[in-house]
Amino acid sequence: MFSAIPAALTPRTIRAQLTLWYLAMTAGALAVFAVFVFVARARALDRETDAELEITAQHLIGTLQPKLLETLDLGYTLAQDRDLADQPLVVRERQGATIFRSLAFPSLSEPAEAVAVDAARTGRELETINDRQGNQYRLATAVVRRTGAAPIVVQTSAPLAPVRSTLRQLAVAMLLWSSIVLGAASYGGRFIARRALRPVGDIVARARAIEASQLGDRLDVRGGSEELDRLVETLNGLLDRLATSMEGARRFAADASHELQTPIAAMRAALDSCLTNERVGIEDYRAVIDDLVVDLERLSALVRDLRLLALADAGHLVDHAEPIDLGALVLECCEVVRAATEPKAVAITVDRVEHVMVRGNPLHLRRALFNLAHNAVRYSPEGSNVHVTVQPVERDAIVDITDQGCGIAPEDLPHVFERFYRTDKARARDTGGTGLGLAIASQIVRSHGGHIGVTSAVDEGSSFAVFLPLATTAAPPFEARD
Amino acid sequence: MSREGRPIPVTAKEYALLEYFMRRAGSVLTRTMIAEHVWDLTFDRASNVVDVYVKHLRDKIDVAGSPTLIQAVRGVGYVFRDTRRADA
Repeated sequence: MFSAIPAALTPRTIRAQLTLWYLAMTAGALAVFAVFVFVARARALDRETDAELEITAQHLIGTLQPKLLETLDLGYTLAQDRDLADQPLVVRERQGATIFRSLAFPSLSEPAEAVAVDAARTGRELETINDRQGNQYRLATAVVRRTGAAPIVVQTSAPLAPVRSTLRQLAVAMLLWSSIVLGAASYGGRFIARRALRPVGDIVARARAIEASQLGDRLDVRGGSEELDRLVETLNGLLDRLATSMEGARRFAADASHELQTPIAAMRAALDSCLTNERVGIEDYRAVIDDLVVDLERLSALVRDLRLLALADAGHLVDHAEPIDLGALVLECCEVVRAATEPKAVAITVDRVEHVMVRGNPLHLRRALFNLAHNAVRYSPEGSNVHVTVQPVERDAIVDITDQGCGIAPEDLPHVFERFYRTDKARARDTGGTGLGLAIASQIVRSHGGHIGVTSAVDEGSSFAVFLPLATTAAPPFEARD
Repeated sequence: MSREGRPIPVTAKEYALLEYFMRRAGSVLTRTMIAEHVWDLTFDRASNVVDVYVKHLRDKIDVAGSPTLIQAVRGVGYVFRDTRRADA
């Protein structure tokens, strides 16, 4: 409950919060300033009053001096002086007994009278006292020494009301002006906050207007401030990445449906011609069915590839990593590639194999290695060689597959791992792949925390290097296979 | 491994292939089934791999003059038949 109260009181918009803060700061500054001015002014006024009072007292003593020397019935002598009636004046004996009291001297309250008597005894020079109405006065006390007689005390007073009223006026004026300034400040604060935050509103409006279908649009809000410009840049960067990703997904979907469409159309055409042709023999049916089987195989391979890529995109390719002897895996792969490409006369030579251990999914890794080695043989001329090595380099296991094939043009090189990307040469040969082989190999290797490097020279050959992080545990002793 | 007293050297994969055929003798095995069982393979060139290994295996185990033990079933795959038993 306790914490709910300030939360409820805290305004929800930054604009209101900024205004509030601005106002609070201004009010604080004004208050400190006002108190300082007030205290300084009050002290100065008090000092002035006291100084004037002391001057008045000395002046009085000066004018009274001849009379004060009189010792016989001083009170009567002073009472005869008409001029003194207008002066607030008390003349006392040193013990406090009143000798003379002018009409102008305020009638003091009892405690004030006691203070005055006490001041006369001790000779304290300045006191603040009250009259019976509660008005404050300042009392000055001076001791006058007389030759040949006891000293007497002269007291005079000055009202503090004018000082108090001056200070009250000052306080009222300062309060008034402070309120005016604060009022202006609240307007100013709100104006500044609104001005500073106007670009945010623009950004919001612009961002709302951007739909998934038009991710090409960008926020073009500028000239706010460095912070807001950075926000806009960040959002635009996010939009860039989203747009790239969306565009990739869109193209992939389009390519995939196109690739799926091709074998389906071929099958449909074969079946149509078979149905429309009246004189079809059993051998023709067999031929059509053979074609259909080939097309179906191609279709199912494609669907399997797409599924694998979808799994990889979702990050589920290597859910359960196990230790793998990469050397043994490569040897096995090469053997399968030899079988898969027979009777093509391309020799796969494993020049060097170290039985390095990596972690991952052996099925997928073999798939990646197979795709690379198979590709190498596929694009190699008859009678050439494909060289394979497996070795650890620093913290990676590197599988290098180098062919003496047609090579990859420099402009194609950055794209070879893109889905459905085929170089013109590869397309011309139409070796029957799904167009996903390298994309899958790359995706699998990346899912295992590695990457594939490729270098190539046209008509000289290509070299694919698979980098996979070595398993941290020591490799178990290798047992010869086959 | 031997046939009619004649020793036959085979590789591990060839042995695995033959064992699979013999265990499922008489039933037709598709190339996909063979590839998945023997090689744990699920990719598009699997059928060619199967064909090549079957060819190797036939070269080794078949005897000149008698029909092949591993017969092709067109468009489907292969079937292992012990011809002597079939003759009987």
